[in-house]
Amino acid sequence: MNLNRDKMMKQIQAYSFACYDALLYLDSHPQSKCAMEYYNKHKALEKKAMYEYEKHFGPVTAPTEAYSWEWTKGPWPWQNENDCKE
Amino acid sequence: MWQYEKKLQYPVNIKNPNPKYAQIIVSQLGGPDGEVGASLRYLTQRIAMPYSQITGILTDVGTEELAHVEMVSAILYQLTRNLKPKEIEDSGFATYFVDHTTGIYPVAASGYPYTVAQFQSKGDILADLHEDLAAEQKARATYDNILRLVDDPDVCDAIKFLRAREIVHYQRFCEALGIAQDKMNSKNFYGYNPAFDNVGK
Repeated sequence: MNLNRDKMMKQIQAYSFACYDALLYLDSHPQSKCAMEYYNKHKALEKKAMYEYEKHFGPVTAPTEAYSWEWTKGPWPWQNENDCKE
Repeated sequence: MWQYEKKLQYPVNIKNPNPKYAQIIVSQLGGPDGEVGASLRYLTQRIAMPYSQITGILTDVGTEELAHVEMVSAILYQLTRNLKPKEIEDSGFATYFVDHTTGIYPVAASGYPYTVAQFQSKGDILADLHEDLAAEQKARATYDNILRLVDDPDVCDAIKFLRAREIVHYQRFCEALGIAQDKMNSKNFYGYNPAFDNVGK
């Protein structure tokens, strides 16, 4: 297990979850300034964490620009390093 | 359309395989209150939903359910990793194994294959939202039952996350119902169906 990889992924998951939960809340509470601030703040943190992770471990979302095709490289999210054969 | 994100919504890291647990948990993939049915229910219902705000809620909850399909699949995959034939025989997993090896296939714990007959898309706002509220509670109860039967902390951690999401979705659907009722005729909610009848447009 790559500890650093897991740690950085966990960071993305935490920020993404915060955003998604706020998004659902905003769907039924579109007037909530507080929820919108929370959403914006965590969206920025998610973007930064995603950028850092992708620099080291390849794309999480389809790349906006590619020079080598990393998208299909494992491990996929349900796998660990031993589960995937390149 | 949808775009894939190459990550789980919440981490699933199960160290110890356990085919017996897999046979129970598979119900939350293809069982009557499972995640495959949940995602299809909301993503089909949303199309005929006339109120945009509620279409949004159905879209976003339905999308999250797809992430839960992936999480339950990850749990099943990790619980059935590196199994030996003897473990398969002894656990009762053999009946699944013979048809699917360790591939992920949506069935109920009883072995009954997933069927869309388990959910409705009624084209009626009140009927659909009440079905959605019940669906979230039924899925929550299934996760409670899984937690009664499973005592591996790695497995319980992911199951507890999924259980908590059912409660949040239930809350959002309660609010959706309130939003719908505010828009409908409070003297007679059943006077016309805003998803079909054009009265009042």
